[in-house]
Amino acid sequence: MEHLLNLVIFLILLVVGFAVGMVTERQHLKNLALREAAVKGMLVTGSRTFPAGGAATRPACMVVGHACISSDYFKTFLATIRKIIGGEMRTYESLCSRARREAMLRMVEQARSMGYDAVCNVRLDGADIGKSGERGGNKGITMVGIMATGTAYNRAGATPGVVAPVRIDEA
Amino acid sequence: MLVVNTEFIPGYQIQQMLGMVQGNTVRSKHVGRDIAASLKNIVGGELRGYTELLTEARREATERMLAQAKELGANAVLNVRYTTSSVTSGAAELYAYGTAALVVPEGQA
Repeated sequence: MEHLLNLVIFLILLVVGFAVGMVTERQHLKNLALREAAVKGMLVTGSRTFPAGGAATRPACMVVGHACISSDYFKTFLATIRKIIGGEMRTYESLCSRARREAMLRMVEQARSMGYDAVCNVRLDGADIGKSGERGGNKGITMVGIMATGTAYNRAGATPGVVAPVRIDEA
Repeated sequence: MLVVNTEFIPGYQIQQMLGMVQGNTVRSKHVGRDIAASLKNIVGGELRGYTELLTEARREATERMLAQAKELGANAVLNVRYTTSSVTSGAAELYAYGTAALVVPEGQA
């Protein structure tokens, strides 16, 4: 009887994880696509110099973005099965790309809200919180944390006029 | 204080490099957030509590780094990098480091 109850709970979690997880993911991807379209005019590069940056009208400033995206029960279950066979874990791949896009987008949006039109030297780092990504102990939460950093600046030909430096923590 | 993660700032000249500055912090959220996160782990989605945790930790570490830079008499920190490491479940260590420098606007050197 107890085993049956456990099985029922497991199945319910699986179904809930699958349904809600799929809806959340779809909405998130939709939302990402919309917001990415909105910041299309920004010049975002990984280069260490300042592409298209002319004589500075205002100081460059560092911008950051964070995102922690959690896995759902269904995805985690599929991944556990996958671990037995080995190979590509597609469910986690989408998790990583969502976290990365979200973090990057937040960084670019911050730059934009501060009136900059370009971001260079973009770096993406994995941000660990506890035992992320491994199912060690009952507190192990499967998630991807990403931190994006970059330097925002104005491109040449941007509106002139010296603006006071903006501190990173005031944004 | 000018903070960038590039080696120079356009429109500014580096007058003096003052050496490396750093700041770190280990933070965690209260247990309620951890419980909420493990529930969120069933349905998926963003873990806002942990995103907040990272933001707070980053601010704290940056603040400490800037305080050091100020002590050295710098007005800019160049080449800022962040790294994280996991200490224990639900906690994050954030380490910020960069190079303190004295910069002046071009033409005023």
